[in-house]
Amino acid sequence: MGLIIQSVGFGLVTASVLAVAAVGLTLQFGVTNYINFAYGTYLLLGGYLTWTLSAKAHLNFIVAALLACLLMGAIAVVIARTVMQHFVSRQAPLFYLLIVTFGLSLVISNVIEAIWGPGFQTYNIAVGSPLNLGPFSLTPNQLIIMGVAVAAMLAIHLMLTRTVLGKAMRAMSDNKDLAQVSGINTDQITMVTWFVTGCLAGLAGVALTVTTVSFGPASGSNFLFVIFAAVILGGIGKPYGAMLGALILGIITEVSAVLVSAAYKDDIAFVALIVVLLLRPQGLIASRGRA
Amino acid sequence: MPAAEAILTVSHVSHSFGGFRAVDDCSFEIAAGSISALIGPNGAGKSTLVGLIGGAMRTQTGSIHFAGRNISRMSAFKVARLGLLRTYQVSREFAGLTVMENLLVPPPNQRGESLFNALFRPSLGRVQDRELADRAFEVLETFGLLALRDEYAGNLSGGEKRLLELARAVMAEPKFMLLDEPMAGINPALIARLDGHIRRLRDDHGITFLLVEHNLDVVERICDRVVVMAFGRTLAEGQMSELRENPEVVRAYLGGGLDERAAG
Repeated sequence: MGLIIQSVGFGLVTASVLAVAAVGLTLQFGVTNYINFAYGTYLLLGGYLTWTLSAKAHLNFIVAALLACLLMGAIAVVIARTVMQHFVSRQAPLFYLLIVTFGLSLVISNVIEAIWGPGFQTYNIAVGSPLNLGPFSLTPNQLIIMGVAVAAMLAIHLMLTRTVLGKAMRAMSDNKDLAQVSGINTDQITMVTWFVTGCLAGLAGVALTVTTVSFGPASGSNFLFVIFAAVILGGIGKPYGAMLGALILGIITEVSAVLVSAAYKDDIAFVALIVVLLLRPQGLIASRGRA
Repeated sequence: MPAAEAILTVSHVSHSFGGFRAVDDCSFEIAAGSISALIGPNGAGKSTLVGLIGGAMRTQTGSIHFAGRNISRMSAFKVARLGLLRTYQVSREFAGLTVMENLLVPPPNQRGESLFNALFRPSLGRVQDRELADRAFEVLETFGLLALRDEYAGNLSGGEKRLLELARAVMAEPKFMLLDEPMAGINPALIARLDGHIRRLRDDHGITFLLVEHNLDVVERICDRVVVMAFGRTLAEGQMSELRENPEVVRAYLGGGLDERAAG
């Protein structure tokens, strides 16, 4: 029993990483209306950049992580501007956009492999001795990751509900054409969304690589499918749904690692997804207001 | 002719889709402060013209001027910020936002602000934003939607959605409203209310209206001036009562609609 409760604690850590990633993906989908299959590689690139800046360039880890997040935001904007916008402005079918982002993910993974090599990289961060907090036993790093994730979710919540940007993003996510004739600069909001979600991808990448300690060029794509599961579980395009989906999947996968086997973690995530979709095809948080 | 005080000038506009000329050398002017109508049989090019004026499409030939600015190739959000707001044949709303939130979507005069301020400025708690919420409250009250303010817009009835569309447009402080078939698919009682709102907005706020409308009785009742389009160009202009006598206009309607309605 103790082991199961313990694994719930690890589940919260996994959920934290997952939530940051899933909210970024779902927010970007809500505004742009197409799925970015390269998102997993964005995460990974954020992780690699942080690793290089901290382990190779010897920057303070926090500074390196912050820099990597901002860089990922900028990279996401550059890719959106130079690649995606050309297809979007020609009103390419969604299927084409999907293939383009899939191609992007291949390009980025190969760029990562070209720069950092095919092998695994390892963080040389002191893990620290675990702290006992009630029934849970977590390392300081894990606690920091959870704290940062909670702060990021709070920031996203405030952005969505309290700022002009958030209002515009929600309006665009609801009805892009109407947002535009209401005077919202949809191109600008789209680019700002890419920046914000790129930063979130970077942040999730840092958290992912720190929790897994060692990571390679394929780590991003593997994790992407769990992110998708969390996003779909919550109802695609719904940030709060993604947070909830991440929490559920994080805990389910870690508890299942104890009950079944750690090897089946990702499979369990998908079983959970299938079960939920059978019971609630619209996702946990359905589109509101559609009668 | 109201040439001196025109707020909207369409001059020699043509627009083709593939080989089909939907709008063909069309010209007319809309006087500031008027309630005007754009009528014509199906396929006359009205919808295309509405799209061109609203910025949904870029004008291929000719020019469209609004309040002294050339808007022929301006994007839709800029046209909206200049004060030209449009509505749709089938009303559109932000279904997942509440009625109140729908009214707070149009960004109020952000011109001249920095990108950062425009985006990250808290939208609540500041004086300006409280004023905005107060105004939304007032507008909802005048449109009789106040009781529904916390309802998701997607749950409203067809008539309520029409009113919400007007209310949302009013929040943007428009100079000009382009209504695409505002009376389509709503009951007669609501038609009377809508035309009351249109008149009130013109009289109290000086908003100019251009209605694309098939209900010619409504057009005759509330519009000062009517532009008739057929085959992509302007066929005639004048008051509805004169136009009913105009043989060219009657012929364009294939001798049908106009006479029947006049008789009925």
